[in-house]
Amino acid sequence: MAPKKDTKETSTSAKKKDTTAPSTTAATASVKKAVKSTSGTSGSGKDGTKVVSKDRKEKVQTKALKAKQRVVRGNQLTRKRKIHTKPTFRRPFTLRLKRQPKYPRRSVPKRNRLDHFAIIKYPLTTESAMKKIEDNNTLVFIVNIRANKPLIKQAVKKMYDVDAEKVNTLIRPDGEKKAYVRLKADHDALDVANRIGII
Amino acid sequence: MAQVTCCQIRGKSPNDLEIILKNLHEELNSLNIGRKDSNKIKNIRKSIAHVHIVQNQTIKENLKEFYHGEQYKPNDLRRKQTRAMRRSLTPKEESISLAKTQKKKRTFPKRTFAVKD
Repeated sequence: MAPKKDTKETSTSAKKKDTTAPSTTAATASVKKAVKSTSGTSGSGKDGTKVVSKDRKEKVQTKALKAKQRVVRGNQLTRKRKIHTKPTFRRPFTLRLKRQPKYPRRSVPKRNRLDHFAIIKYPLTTESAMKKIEDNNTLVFIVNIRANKPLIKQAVKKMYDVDAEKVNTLIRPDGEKKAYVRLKADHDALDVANRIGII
Repeated sequence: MAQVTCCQIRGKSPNDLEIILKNLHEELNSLNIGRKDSNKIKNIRKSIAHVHIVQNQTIKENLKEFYHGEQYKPNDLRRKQTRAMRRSLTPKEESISLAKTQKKKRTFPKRTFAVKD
């Protein structure tokens, strides 16, 4: 009975704010009013009557919503059957989700061991290499055996700032890869060799 | 040229380390042309290795801190143990028993008797 008393108190205080004399009948009427007003505004469920009304409203609403959904969805008992026009049945396409790993399997991605420092080991300084520099505008390098021509081209560009016209490679009998890097016409192999320190 | 030791470089920022690494590599390349100063070459190669060591160690440390307490860690930050041990039941899982067996144990514990002189 405590909650009712509270409502009575609040109502009386409210009443006092408004007008009229606080008679007993008026007081009860005000209690009822208070009940109605609080149920309408759906405040705290102190009184049992208020909570039921609110629940009932929600129930009716959900029921209506469900009916609407069912209408939109269509009745599943009268299902349409697919017409197969071909004798073969192929597996239908299903949803394939993209990977969204919760954690990376490796904490750090592998470092590229074949960076341009590792590709070009050293330039050759033999007599035939010198001849190539002077005559054919090419530089001769000993190169990592796992490097391929485009990689060698990139590495030379990055290390020595020169553009290569073409790269020819061969694997020496001692297992090293030799790369003949012909430079573009606007570069002079002799200058570049001087700059690098070959000569 | 003296070898760069790990102690010398541990405090440095990753950018600094990259610069050091680049310089070492360039020096190595210039030395490789003649291929004469074998001791110097050795020092530089080892220094490069030390820089890599420091880089990788700091990265690993930071990642370990980052993933500390998380349920899902990268595989290399988890305990290595052995394959079998990783797949075995945890001590808690092993200690689970049926309510029935627990009751039995409670009502009929192992009793010890002694003969009184």
